Amino acid sequence: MKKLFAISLIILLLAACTSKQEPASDELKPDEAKVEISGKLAITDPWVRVGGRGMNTALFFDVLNGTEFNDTLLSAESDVAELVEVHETYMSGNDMMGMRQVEFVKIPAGSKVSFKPRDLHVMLIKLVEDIKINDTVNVKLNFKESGQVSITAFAKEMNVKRMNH
Amino acid sequence: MRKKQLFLISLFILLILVLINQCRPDLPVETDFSGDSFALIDQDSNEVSFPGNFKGKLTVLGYIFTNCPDICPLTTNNMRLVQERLKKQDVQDINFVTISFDPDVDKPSVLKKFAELRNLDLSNWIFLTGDKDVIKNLIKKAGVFAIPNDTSRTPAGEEIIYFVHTDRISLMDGEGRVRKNYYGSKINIDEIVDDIIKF
Ligand SMILES: [Cu+2]
Repeated sequence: MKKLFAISLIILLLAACTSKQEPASDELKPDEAKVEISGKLAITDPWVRVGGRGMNTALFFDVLNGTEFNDTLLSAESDVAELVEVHETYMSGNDMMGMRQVEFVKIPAGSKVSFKPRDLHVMLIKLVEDIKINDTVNVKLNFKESGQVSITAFAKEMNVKRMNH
Repeated sequence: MRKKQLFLISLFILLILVLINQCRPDLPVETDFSGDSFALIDQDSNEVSFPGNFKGKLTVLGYIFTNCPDICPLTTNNMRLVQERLKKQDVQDINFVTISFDPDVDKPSVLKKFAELRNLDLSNWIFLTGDKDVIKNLIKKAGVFAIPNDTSRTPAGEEIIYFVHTDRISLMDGEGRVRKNYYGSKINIDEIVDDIIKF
């Protein structure tokens, strides 16, 4: 009995010493999601990161192309910033990160494309006013086939995942 | 007490001592700032000596530029998560230091705004900027790269510079020696909290 106790204690201590190596919480997930053909292109879960006047921030959302046509996001516009561009965050080498403008983003028919942290974003450059937590921001997205789509994004710091109860 | 019991207890104590020793992370010195003294200024324009002002405590160090809308806010938010976790676990006396590698843009007031917008708890967290050459020398020594690469030009003709930069949070010991580097924007919070607790 004592031996059993001793062995369990040792195992417990050993377990306590091994550090956990879980993957980072915001690790990219592949966007393989198929979208049902509904005839419509929809923007879901838009949110914008907080930012200060004269500074920059990023807007994120999902594009669900339920049309039968391949579409393309060409540009975006908004009154909240002096300049609005479509950007991507990219990795350079082992541990360097950068960010650059992209000419367009293809949104194939029946698919979802996510604009998300560490990836695609709409870049709001030189904000004309502060964007604080819970503020709303209006942005227009210009698609080649679907035309102009207006969205309203809530401001927050992180995309907090909804809890499943 | 019987001999057998005494033997078992001694064996126990010995094992626990060995295990506690194993628990301490065997972290090599990545960068030794212990002999350095970089003169910087914080978000309130106070003069700060790095690493001098932070010796005697563990320091969680992050590197950012505020024109960065994605990676640097993630790094900052991860430092906040570490700060919150340590508070919850009642681990005290840890410094949080964010260093800007874009001093041309990141004046103290800009850093202050960056922190305020995020409601950061600055009771044990400081944002640092400084003279361009001092910052350059500091990040060079840290092995942090920040290369002006991509730009945007506003309608008014202003050029905004985006750096390709090392994505980093570091853990510095009480003597000013960096003991471990992590990816800033995707750090494993459990890992650094474990490292801090075992230190
Ligand atoms: Cu960007």
